[in-house]
Amino acid sequence: MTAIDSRIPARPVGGVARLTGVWLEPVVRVTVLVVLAEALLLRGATRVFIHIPGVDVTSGILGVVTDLARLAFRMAVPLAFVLLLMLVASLWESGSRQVAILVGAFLGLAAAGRFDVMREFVDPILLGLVALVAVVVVTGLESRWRIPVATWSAAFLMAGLVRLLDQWAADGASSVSLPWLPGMAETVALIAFITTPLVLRNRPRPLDLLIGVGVAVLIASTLSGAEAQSAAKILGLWNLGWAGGYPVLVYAVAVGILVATVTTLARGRRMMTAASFVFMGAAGFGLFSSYQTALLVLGLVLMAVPSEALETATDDVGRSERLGLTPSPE
Amino acid sequence: MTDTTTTMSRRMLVVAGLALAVGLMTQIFGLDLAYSQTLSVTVWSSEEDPGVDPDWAGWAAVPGAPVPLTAQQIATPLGGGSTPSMTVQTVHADGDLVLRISWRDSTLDTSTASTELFTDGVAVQFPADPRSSVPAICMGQADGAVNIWHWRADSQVGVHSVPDIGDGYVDRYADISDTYYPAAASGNPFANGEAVQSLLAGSFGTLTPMDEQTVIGEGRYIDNEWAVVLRRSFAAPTTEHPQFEVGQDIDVAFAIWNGSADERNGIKSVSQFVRFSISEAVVAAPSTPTTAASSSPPSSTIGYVVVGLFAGVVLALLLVALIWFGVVIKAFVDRD
Repeated sequence: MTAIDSRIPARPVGGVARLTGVWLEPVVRVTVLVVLAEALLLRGATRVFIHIPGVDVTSGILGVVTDLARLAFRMAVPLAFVLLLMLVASLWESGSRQVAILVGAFLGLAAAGRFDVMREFVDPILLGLVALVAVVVVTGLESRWRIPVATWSAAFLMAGLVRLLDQWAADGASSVSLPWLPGMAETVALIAFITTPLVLRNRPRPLDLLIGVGVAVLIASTLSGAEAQSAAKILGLWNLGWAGGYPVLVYAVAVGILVATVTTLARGRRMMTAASFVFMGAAGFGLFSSYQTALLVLGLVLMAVPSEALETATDDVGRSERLGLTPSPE
Repeated sequence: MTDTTTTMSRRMLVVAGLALAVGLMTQIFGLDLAYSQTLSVTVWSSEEDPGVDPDWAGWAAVPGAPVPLTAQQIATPLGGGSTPSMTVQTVHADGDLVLRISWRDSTLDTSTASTELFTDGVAVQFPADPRSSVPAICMGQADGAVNIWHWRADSQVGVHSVPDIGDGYVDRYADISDTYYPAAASGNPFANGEAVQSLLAGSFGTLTPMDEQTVIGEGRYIDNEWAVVLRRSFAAPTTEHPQFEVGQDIDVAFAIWNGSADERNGIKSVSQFVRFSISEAVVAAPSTPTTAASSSPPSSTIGYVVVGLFAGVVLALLLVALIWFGVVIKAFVDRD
């Protein structure tokens, strides 16, 4: 029985899940805002945009942005882990116990890694848990959802494997090297971005399309020119795991499509699904920190969260749609 | 505004307020709830002192971490990238941090005696305050300075002998007195007689030699390969130098210059930040005949097993996506 199947029929919601259900959506909403702020300010502004030739940032503005970026990061990390804990409780009481156990194990290992316990084993096991969560979640999704979510997860796992192999080489544990893997991970990641509209039932509204096109144009124009492309390539690789093998236009289009999809979902009152893609996008591809890996798990698990665990049930439509029961209003 | 919306807004404010409080507390007390998963290079403990000898026998027992390099394309002058990768090995001995950096270079460039000649070199960059978050990789940032250890082949040659200014000028003055070397006489840091300089930077254009030059180093070039050893005491002479200690994790980045490829200044090959983990684990002494790392090449079994497992999951996920992609396409075609 898969994660989604296990939610039918809905089980009675217990005390803990009821409590987390009341607070789950507010926490998700705030976490989305803070994670977006962290990704845009810390990884976007202070690490990429200030290094693009021609983009002048005065030191005063930079100082303020840097402070805000660090604060956003400091807020985002505990929020992400608290949200995962709440999801464990919700999933457990609603019957999706496979996912709850996997996420609980993930949290335990992330804590072990933080305190340097079994450090050399933590990252491979964490990546293995991500793989299991991905398999359980993907197999429980409605058919069209499986394409973007499966490719997204596969891209993350491939990029993470690159990091593991580098680490083993550095530790003298293994000399296996797969130099083609980063490029392949990037290609699969781009497929994931481009296929995200498959989670929509109806066409996006003009405003949603306009926002997506605007973001694509902004990215393409900001990163156009050889110098800016190269700066974006090396810093994008550092921050998000992109190998940088394609022209900037390809990334701009892919991100534009993702943004249009997320906007359509959010405006269609499918906040949880929109939040899933925001978290997965901010996670990047590959192993950077336990925070970013937790964001990917958050994104995956939110797709399996039972709507009955939410007090306001704003994602009912999304859940029903995932199960192929009702059309979405978007 | 409906009651539901009002309730949601209030709850969001409560959550945001709590998150802000926790965020400020972790900032004030320097707590990190997450940990870095970037490449970590173990700094092994060595019972034997390697000195600054690139050919110390013990290096054979120290695993080398491959570090990919790319052209520096962020600040003018742009370019470089002629060195695709380097290897770093690290140990600590007698309270000193010792790094051995090696890379392939088919040309030996040790002279800058004329304007069209450029030297081989290597630089290592640490956050000046290792407890702070990782600064911008490009020479640091306004509130996050970096300490750079810069070794130059021409400086090393100058350390050991009078540089051959040979054909560089019409009139040559081989005298080594201050009269003919005004840079050295006036205290120009490039003429300080050391192969390694310790520098401080807070952003582009702020690179400045440290007052305290405590880094020593030695390079040697054999069989088209450079091997350079850099060494400094764990104890920091000032707060502008990073302090090292056993159990510490510290970020570090690298740059390589190939003189024959006209690389100098910002034209160089650069790495991303990797992480040094200063460990208590002791690397085998060079006299020990059998050690895991030195007596045999690293085992690849574990690598192949894990790659195989992950490949299975990845292929399964991709297969699921492919199957449903076909289903969606078929449904789309049938609908038309």
